[in-house]
Amino acid sequence: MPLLELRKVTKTFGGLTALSEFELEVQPGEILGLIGPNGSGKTTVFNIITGFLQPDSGKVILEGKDITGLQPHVIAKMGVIRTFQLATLFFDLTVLDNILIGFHNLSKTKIFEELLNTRPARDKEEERLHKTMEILQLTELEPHQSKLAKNLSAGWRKTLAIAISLAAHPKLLLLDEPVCTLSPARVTSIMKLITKVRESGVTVMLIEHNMKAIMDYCDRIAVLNFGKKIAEGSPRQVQQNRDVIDAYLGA
Amino acid sequence: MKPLHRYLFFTALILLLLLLPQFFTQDYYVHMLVMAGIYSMLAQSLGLIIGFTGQVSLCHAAFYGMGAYISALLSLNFGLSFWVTFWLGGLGAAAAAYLFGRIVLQLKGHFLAITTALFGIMVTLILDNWTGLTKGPMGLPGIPRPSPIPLLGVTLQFTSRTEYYYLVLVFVLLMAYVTYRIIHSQIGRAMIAIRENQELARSVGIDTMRFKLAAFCIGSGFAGIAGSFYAHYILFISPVSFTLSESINILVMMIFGGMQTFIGPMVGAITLTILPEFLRMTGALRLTLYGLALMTLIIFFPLGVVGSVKEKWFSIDETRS
Repeated sequence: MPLLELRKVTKTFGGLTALSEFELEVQPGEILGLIGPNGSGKTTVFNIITGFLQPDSGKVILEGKDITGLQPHVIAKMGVIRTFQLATLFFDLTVLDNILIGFHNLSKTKIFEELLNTRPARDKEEERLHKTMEILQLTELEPHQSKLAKNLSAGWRKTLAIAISLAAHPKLLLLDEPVCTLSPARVTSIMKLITKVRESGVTVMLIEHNMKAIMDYCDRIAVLNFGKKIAEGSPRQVQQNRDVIDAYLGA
Repeated sequence: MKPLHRYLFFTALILLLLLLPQFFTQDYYVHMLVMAGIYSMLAQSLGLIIGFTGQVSLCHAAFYGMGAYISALLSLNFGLSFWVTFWLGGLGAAAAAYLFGRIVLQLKGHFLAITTALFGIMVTLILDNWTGLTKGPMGLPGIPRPSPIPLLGVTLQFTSRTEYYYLVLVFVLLMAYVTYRIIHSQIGRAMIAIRENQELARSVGIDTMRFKLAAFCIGSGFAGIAGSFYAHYILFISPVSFTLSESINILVMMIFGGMQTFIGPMVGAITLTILPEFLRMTGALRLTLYGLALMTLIIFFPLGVVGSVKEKWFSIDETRS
């Protein structure tokens, strides 16, 4: 069974059709790339999957359950975590605090326990701190843990955005342009991180413009143009697809 | 601060607070202390809403007023004692905050600020015009004092201001404790996340409406309790004490003290309640100097007094990577 299905999803903004009868299946454990020219509707797909936007029609199905139009935090709790196109962080907080917030839903916290700072509450905090250290080590952010997020370089900011999303324990991770504007060395290290994440059992869908990254690391790719899916398949298939070449090079 | 130092500091502070009326025996000064206590409650509860959760509420005085009126009316019309009515005043304000917040907390920034300001004005209008219930601008006189209560062997009659001082001190400390616990819990962390970046908070599974409502209801409920206290202290209330002006007054205290800190709003409340009185000796220049002091401090200490001190001396931030 596919992890995620998008069935005939349509979204218009006034007179502009952002997505038109978009269909997609995301298989568990794969790294799926979503590409297309600017404005083709890629981020809209993410917004609709995660509840930040409601589709005009169509359905979003997660592991067989209809999640169309649920609120973002509900969908996040079900394991669908997304990052944003522009590195969205808690800029005035430290790297450590940023990731700690991601662990908000680590375990069900009872209000009374929290307020009275009982043993269970303190244990949960211990656990959160411990897991935050694990993520800091995995993403190599450990040396920067006390820095304010706003003082990080672009590469580390993007890494931090991924780190926060990992804290939220995703089943399906939606990364919106995770390596955009970064140097080739940086791109490689982040793509390797994403591969490690997939190996730990997370399904990944990513939007990117960096063709090398997409072709080298994705199992499958879907191509959007003007809100419609024009191609889907392995990197090689997509690279040789006539429509795709036209879309990217066409007038 | 090491745990031992912390305990010593707080013990010393509590002792000082308990002994304060011994140094300031004049009625006038004790009155200042009581009002400082009331404003501490108001500024700190607003700090939870604006400072920690980032929701700009300009109707805090409306909930202060609701608490005062609910408490006063229940006492005057049904003979209920303060010890019962202060709870009801707080709950009433919190309930109103829940109903109003459910709708208005979907707004952000300036829109939220304006809408809450208008709500505050609406409440003032109701208090002024529903004369059958509230006696309008004439106000409610003759509000009964809290009924006598035994405390540590002595019976407090609330016939002297000093007794009110101790009562307000208990309230302030209890509220401060609850606020402290909230801020330093996972709930507080979620509130800060919402303040810093609401979309990001949502994307990692934080139910933003729930926490915004929690902050709004708790903060407004505390304001209601402060209002009830005010009513049974001054023994007379009228709508003029609960206007938008007053909301802004509380807001300024909170900002001045440092709204993203725990003790900031209290420091602001105490300073700005007592400072105008010290300036009395400057006569005609009083308001000018007050305004100048505020402006200077906000320009040079944008994080508030406590906030700026924390930033300059206790910051752990490291330089750019």
